[in-house]
Amino acid sequence: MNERRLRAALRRTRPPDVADARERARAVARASYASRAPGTPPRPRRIGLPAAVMLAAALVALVITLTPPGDAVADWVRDLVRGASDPPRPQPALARLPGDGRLLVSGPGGSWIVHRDGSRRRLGGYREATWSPQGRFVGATRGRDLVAVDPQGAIRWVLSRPAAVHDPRWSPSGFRIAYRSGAGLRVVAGDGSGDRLVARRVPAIAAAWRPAAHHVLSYVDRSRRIVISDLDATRRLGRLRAGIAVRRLEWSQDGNRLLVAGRRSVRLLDASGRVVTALDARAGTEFLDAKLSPGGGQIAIAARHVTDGRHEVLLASARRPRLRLRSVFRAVGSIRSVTWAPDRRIVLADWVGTDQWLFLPTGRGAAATAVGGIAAHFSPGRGRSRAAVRVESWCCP
Amino acid sequence: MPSRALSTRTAAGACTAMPRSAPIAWKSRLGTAAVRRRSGVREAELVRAAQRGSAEAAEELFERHWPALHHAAFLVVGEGAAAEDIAQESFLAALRALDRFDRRRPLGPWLHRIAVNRAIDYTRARALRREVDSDALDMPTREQAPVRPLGDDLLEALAALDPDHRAVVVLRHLLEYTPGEIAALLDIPRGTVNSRLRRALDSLAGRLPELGP
Repeated sequence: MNERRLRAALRRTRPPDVADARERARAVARASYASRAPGTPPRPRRIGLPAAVMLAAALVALVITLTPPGDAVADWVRDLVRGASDPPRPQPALARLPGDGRLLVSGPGGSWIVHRDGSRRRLGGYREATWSPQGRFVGATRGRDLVAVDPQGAIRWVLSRPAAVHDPRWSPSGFRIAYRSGAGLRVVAGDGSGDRLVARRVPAIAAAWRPAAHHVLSYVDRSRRIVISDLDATRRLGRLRAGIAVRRLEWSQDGNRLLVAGRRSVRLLDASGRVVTALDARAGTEFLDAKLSPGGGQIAIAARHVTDGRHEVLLASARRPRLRLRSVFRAVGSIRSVTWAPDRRIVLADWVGTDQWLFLPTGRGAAATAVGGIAAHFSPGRGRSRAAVRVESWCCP
Repeated sequence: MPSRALSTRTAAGACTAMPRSAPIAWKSRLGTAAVRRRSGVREAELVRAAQRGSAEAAEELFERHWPALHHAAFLVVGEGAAAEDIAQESFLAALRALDRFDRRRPLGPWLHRIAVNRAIDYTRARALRREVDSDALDMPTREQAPVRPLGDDLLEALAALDPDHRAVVVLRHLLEYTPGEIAALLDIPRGTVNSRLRRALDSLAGRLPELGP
C-alpha cells in the first residue's frame, strides 16, 4: 500500500453536497451558539412593533386567509416568528420518570429497565429489546441469539440462529415473538418453541402485531408492499401498496388503524388498507419518527427541517381526515425519536444532539422537563456512545 | 452573527483579520506540526473569544473545524446525511462544552475525538438496524457493474473494514495524527493502533490494487 496515494485518495473522496451541508450546519451552529446560556451576551430587548409593521402583518394575514399559497406563506411566517422553543434546564440525573410505567432502553452498555423512581436495572448485554404484554418479560437480541429474560435479568430461554437477530416484537397475546434473522422474518412461540420462517428477504423494517386480533402480523415484503398475515391460519389477509417508502409500521391498540411512517409521509390506514389520514412533509422537512399514542387518538412526530437544521416534535390528532399539526418543541440538535408515556400525557423526545431526554407534556399549560447526561446513564464508563442509546418503549403503568 | 464575518474580535478586544476561506484553514490544519502550532496560538485566542461570547470567533472555529469533521465522519460512516448529522452534533456538543474547555490545548483533537467516536457508534448502531432496500438484495453481476471512480471503490473498501479500523485509518491518513496521538484520542494502547492500522492497510491493499506500491 502506497500511503501517499491512500492519503490523496482519502482527501479526494469528499462527502456529497458539501457546500449546502456546510451552510445548514453553520446556521445550526449560529443558532446554538446564540442560545447558549453561559457567557451569552445579553440579547437585544424586543421592542414593540411599529404601526406600519402591524398593518403589514394584518395584510399578510389577510393574504394567508384568502389565497391558496397562503399555507406556504403561513409556514414561512410561522418559522420566522417562532424560531426555537426555550428548552428546559436539564436535570443532571434521572431522579424519576414524570409518568407511570417503566422504560426499556438499549444501548452499547446493554438493555436497561428504568423504573418510575428513576432506578435502573441492567438486564444484560443485549442490543435490542421488546416488552411482553404487561411488561412481565423482555425479549432481547444478542448477536445471533434471541433471549427471553424476566425484568430482573434472569434468562428464561435462548434461541440461536445462524444469522444475526434484530427487531424482536412480542405479540399482544404474549404467545409469539416476531423477529428478523438475516434477511428472513421469523416467528417463535413465547416459550421459545416452534420457531418458523414467515417471509424471506424482507427489508430491515420491524414487523408489527395487530392488537385485538389473534396473531395477525403486518410486515413489509421485498416488493415494499405491506403484508397483513394471519399466522395461525397461515393465510394472507391483505397485501397493500403503501405508496411511500416505509420505515415503520404500528397498529393502534384497537387494531383498527395501521400507522405507516416514512421519511416524507405519515399515513393512517384502516384495516382494509384504505388511507384514512395522511400527512406529507413540506419541502425541506423530513420525518424521523412517528408514533401512535396508546389510545390511537394522536400521533407524535419527530421532524427535521433540513434547511435550518432545526428539529421539532409535533402532535397531530389521528381522528381527523387531514392531520393538523401542533408543535410542542423546536430546537437545534437532533431529536431522533419520540415515545409515548402509557397514560398519553407525556411524549419522551430523545434529544440526541444535546444528550438529553425531553419529557414533553401533551396537554397545554404543563411544563416540559429534561434530563441530561443520558449517555453516561446507559453507557457507564464508556463516555461516548450517545448515538447508540435508544428508547425502546415505555410500558405498563 | 453576520454570515460573512471576516474578522474576529479577540479576547483583548483587537480585531484580527481572519480569512474566511475554509480550504485555506483546512489545509493549514492539515499541514506540518509547525503550522499546527502556529494556528494553535490563534486558535486559543479564538476559543477564549468564543468563551466570552464572540459569535464571530465561534463562526471562525466552525469554518476551521467543521470541514474536517464532516469529511472524517463521511469516511467512517460512508453516508452523506449521517456524516452531516455527526459533524453537526459534534460541533454543537463542543460549543455547549466550550466554557469548560481548557484553551491551552488544541481544539482540533478534542473535536475529532468526539466526531470519530460518534461515527463509530453510529456505524455500529446502523449495523444493528441495517436498512436494506429490497432492490439491493439482487446483486448485480460483474458484467452489469458500471465502471466507477476510485472514490466509490475507496468507500466500499473502507466499508468492508471494522468501524474501529476505519477510524484509525481516517485519523492517521486524513487527519494526519501520529499513532501515539490516535492512541490518546481513542483511549486505546498504541500497539492496538499500530495493529489496526496494519490490518486495515492490508485489507485496503487487497481491495484497491491501484493504491499499491
